[in-house]
Amino acid sequence: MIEAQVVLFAIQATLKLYAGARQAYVDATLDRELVLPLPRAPDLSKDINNIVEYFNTDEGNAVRLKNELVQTLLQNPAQNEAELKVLYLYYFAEINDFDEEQMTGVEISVADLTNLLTIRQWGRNENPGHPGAFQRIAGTIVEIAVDYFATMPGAVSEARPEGRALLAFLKGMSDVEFATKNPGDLAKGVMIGVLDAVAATPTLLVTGEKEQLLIAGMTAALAKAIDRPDDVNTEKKKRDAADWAQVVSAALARGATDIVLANPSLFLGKTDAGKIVLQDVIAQVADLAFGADKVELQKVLSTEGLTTIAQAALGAISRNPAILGSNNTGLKKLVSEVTATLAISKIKAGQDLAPHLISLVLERSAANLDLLWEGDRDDPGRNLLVVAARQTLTVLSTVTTGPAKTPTFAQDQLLSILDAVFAQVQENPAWVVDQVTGHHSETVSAALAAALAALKGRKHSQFGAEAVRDALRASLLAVGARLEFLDHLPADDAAAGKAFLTAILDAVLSAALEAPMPASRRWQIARASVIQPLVETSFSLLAKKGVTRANLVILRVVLDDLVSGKIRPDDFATALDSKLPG
Amino acid sequence: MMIFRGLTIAVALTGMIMLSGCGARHMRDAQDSFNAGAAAENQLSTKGDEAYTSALGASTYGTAVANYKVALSLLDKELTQNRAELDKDKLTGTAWTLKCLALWRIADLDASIPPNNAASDSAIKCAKDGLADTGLTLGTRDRVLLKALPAFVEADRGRGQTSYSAAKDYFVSAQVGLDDAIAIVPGDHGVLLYLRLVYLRMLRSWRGAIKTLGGPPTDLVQNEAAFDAQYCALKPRIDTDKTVKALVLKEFQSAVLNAPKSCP
Repeated sequence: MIEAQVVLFAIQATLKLYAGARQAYVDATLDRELVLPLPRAPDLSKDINNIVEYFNTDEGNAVRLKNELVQTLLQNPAQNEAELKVLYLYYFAEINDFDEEQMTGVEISVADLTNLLTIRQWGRNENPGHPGAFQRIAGTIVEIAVDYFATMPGAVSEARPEGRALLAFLKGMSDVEFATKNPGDLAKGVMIGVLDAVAATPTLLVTGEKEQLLIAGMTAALAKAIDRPDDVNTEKKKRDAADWAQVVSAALARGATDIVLANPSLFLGKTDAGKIVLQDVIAQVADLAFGADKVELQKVLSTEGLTTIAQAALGAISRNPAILGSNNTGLKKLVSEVTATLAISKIKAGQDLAPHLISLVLERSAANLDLLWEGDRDDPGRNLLVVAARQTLTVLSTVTTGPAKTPTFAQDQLLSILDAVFAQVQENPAWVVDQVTGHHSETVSAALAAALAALKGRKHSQFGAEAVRDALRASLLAVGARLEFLDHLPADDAAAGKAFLTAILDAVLSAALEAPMPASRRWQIARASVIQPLVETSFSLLAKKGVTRANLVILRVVLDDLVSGKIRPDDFATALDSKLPG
Repeated sequence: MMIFRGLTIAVALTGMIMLSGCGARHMRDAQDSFNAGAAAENQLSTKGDEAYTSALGASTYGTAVANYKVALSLLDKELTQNRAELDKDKLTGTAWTLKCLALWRIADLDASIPPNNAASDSAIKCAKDGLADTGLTLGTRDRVLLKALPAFVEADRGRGQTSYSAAKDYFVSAQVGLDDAIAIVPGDHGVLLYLRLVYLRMLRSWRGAIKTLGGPPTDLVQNEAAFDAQYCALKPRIDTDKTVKALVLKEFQSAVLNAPKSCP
């Protein structure tokens, strides 16, 4: 039985090897060097008249004037033809700086001439459009070896988990055409990256059927992703690309494992279009790493970031497979859009903000896909959360710089603010899109700007980034409850022209942080843990009883009572509630 | 180990299959013949033009013509009988170019061909048809050679004229054709050196015509300027490659003309 398999393998290998060898032979014929003949031309130095003329003009004349022998011979050129020709060859070589010790003039050997006139089909830096003979044959042999180990029973021991993992990897690589494409170092990078991840992931070493399918599917997707025109042309760049392939492959393998194994039927099964979902997702994330934008993305995405994106994408798909979009390009475009938005906003944040923000968008989008990403899922511009993120980052970036700036947010604080914005948009899409006109709405920008107008320039020692974040979240909740918070106060108010939201925050923060009061009382009030409930209470009670100028005045009075010590911070909510009408 | 047993059988079978032959093998035979012809002709070339007609050169001359004819015969057969296979392997362009080159050399060398333009016309037609056929896959060298080939023929025709004005027309036409071909050579492709050497040969033939057929002194000045231009175009290689320097100076020496002392 085994003998029969060996013969069958030999026949298949023969056909493959023959095809590879024959194509290499054909390519070599096309590329073959050709010896080209120089056309004939008369040798004018055989004519003594031309020699005489030579010694009577320019440099030849100068030689004649200094050389009595030449002068004597030229008196009877016909008789002295042989001598004059020899002298011509000698002086020609000397005048033209040709290193010639003998009197034979310039000579060239047949071998040298043939060598110079042996012309290759392609220039040194030209791409002939096909691999060299060595790569084609070597690649064919590698393909045969991969086929062999992937298909021959017993070639790789399946008794051990590592053997089963390797077998799954080889099956994944079996579609790579090493003979005609040039994955080269990149393929090695994928191999090391995936096998590293397998070795480091105990779950994968269980290597049951689904684990093997996962490794094979992942490898095939990565192999497909690196199968693109080679745009690296120096050894260093090639090494960098191979290193990148390795870390990306390991990151994706690590990121995908748990989620895929938790839902193997979804990710390892085929879609209606016959595609394997896992391969589509890996291919899109890998495309980010190996595609045309990779150089830019390498600057903003760490390997952990890629893992986060892979996990988020797979997690989002497990919740709602429709998020992939019809052309399966939505994820890639979403990543590009978010990284570009971050770059434009000039927000100072860690390298991981982009992947976590993408993760946040995907997570919330998957939960409310029809509401948040209406229409074309391959167009991230239609994702309301992307629009909201853009507006939020733009507003935040304009107030975190300059002399009266707000504190610089840490990455998790930024994500927390964005999450609060997303929660409001999810609750009410009108925050970013006008329900009547369908055009973008500026509510997110207006709410954040109104809040930040009050927060900007406060004493950060008492009211730091955490408190600003909480105040922003409270402001967003307030506007979510009552749009009137964004109405502006009339001209006769002390806060004329400001939004109610700004005026309320101003009132609370001024009272808590700036109003004159004894040090012992300030000690109680001027702290974030007290201010935040004051802000939230003010917003919630005014939202409940009306965002009006009269109620704002009442709020100011109750805050004065707090500053003067008539009421304690704990009594603020009761006092305000009782004084507000209704 | 089983894989080695399997591969051993595979390699043995592949070897047997490869021996069964294909169109590429006939193409290689034609290339070998052409290369042998060109090598023989270049051997004569190092000894000067009179070697072509000398008793000593007769054997080499005969070898060159015979090899070109063998190449042409093989190529004609492949292009008529195995065209589909050549097309499939994308070898038709190479075969076609080689056929045109063989026609060019045979038209110039074969003493049995009547001294009219019919044979060289077929070389020019061959080159023009090859360039016009969009179905042909042409490598860089082959494309450049097809583009330049009519100029090669014009230079040969100029050399054979007995009236200076007729000769000049051919040389002017050859000069234009060579300039056009040089313009399409990418970067530092080896075919560029070949074209410039052919250019120098053409200029030498022209210089010979000026002197023997009574061309005006103004043409001689123009001719020397053209020599200088080719020298200067090759100057970077002349400065770095002694063989190229020798080959170029040999052209000047045979033209009885000093190389320029400086280049712009």
